[in-house]
Amino acid sequence: MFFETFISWWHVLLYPLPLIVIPLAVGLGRFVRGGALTVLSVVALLAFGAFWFGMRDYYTPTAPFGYSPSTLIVMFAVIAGAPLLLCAWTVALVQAARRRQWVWLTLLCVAVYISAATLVFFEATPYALCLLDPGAFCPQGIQSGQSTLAIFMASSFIAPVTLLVYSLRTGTQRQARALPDGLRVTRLTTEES
Amino acid sequence: MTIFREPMLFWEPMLLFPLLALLIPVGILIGQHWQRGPLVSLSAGAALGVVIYLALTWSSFTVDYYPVYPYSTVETLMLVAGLLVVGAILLLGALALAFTDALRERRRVWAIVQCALVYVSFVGMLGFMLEPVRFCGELPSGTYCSPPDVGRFALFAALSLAGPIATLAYALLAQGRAAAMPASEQPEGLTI
Repeated sequence: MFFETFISWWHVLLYPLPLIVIPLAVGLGRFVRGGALTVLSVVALLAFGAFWFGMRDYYTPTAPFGYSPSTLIVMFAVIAGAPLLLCAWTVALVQAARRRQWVWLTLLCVAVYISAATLVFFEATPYALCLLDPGAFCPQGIQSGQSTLAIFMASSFIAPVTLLVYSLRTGTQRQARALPDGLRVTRLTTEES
Repeated sequence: MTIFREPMLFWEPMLLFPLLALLIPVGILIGQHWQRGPLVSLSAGAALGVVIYLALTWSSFTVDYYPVYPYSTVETLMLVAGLLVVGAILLLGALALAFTDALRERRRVWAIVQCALVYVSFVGMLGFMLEPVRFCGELPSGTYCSPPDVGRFALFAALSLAGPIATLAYALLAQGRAAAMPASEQPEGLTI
């Protein structure tokens, strides 16, 4: 049944595999201050960095009709980075809602929208081609140059950086918080020993 | 922005796609009053998105002629694709919450099962995008399509629903277990 479309099926099974980084990051979060949120934010940050690193020569066809290293880096970064960011965002939103930190909740929503919209705008317009391939024909009105590229890069990093700041702030606060007055926690074995 | 009008024809509607992610905070706020409420609402939302996508796709099979394959208009195509994107986004959020909860509760089997089934779900969703359930061809009078491959549709539907159902089942079972446990009873010798 699927023989004639084997290559497609190979892709269908392969593309979701980078999602394995999500449980790995959450599991690793048990050993890190700030928990899963810190690890998810850091890995999302790294994935975004890998995305921009791979985009440097993404439009230079080093291997026509095949996968160049840049293509693979960009694909992996997008497939793993975007879901990681969503997962980190979800965990952060649940924490913020539970602690009634409405300002943080709003900030996180705005930051994620800015990052996502930046990446969509960059890819959906000729900016990606014009900024990354100096030899490309660019329509009138496109401002090419390193400063424009820097603005796009900085905007895309707003969400993972905000998530990381929130995670480290709340993780630190939790450690510093003392028990309320009059509340004492003792070991179960204290009286026996 | 008017100088971008000519070369960038379709970027404005595309900026609406990131807005779909705002359904995650909506789901969390709806469910925040219960212990695992956000997980329940995100899982249920993901399942609902996939089910509506399946229903619309199935209903499109009853029509033989399509100006835009396989849906009647570009707007319908965007709406139906958006539903699958909503399902995928909410499923990712549910996976993060369910996996974190399962690890915290030391339910490692549930954690592994959820990861496996969410992976299967994404395979199913990608299958819908990459493997057409029916084939269409251009004729002078318009686009005509072959009968749908019902077996393939049922396979993709089952795969796509596996993840949302797994996270929803975990949330409801964990909630049921928590409700069944006596809350006020403390371990012997513990003083607060």
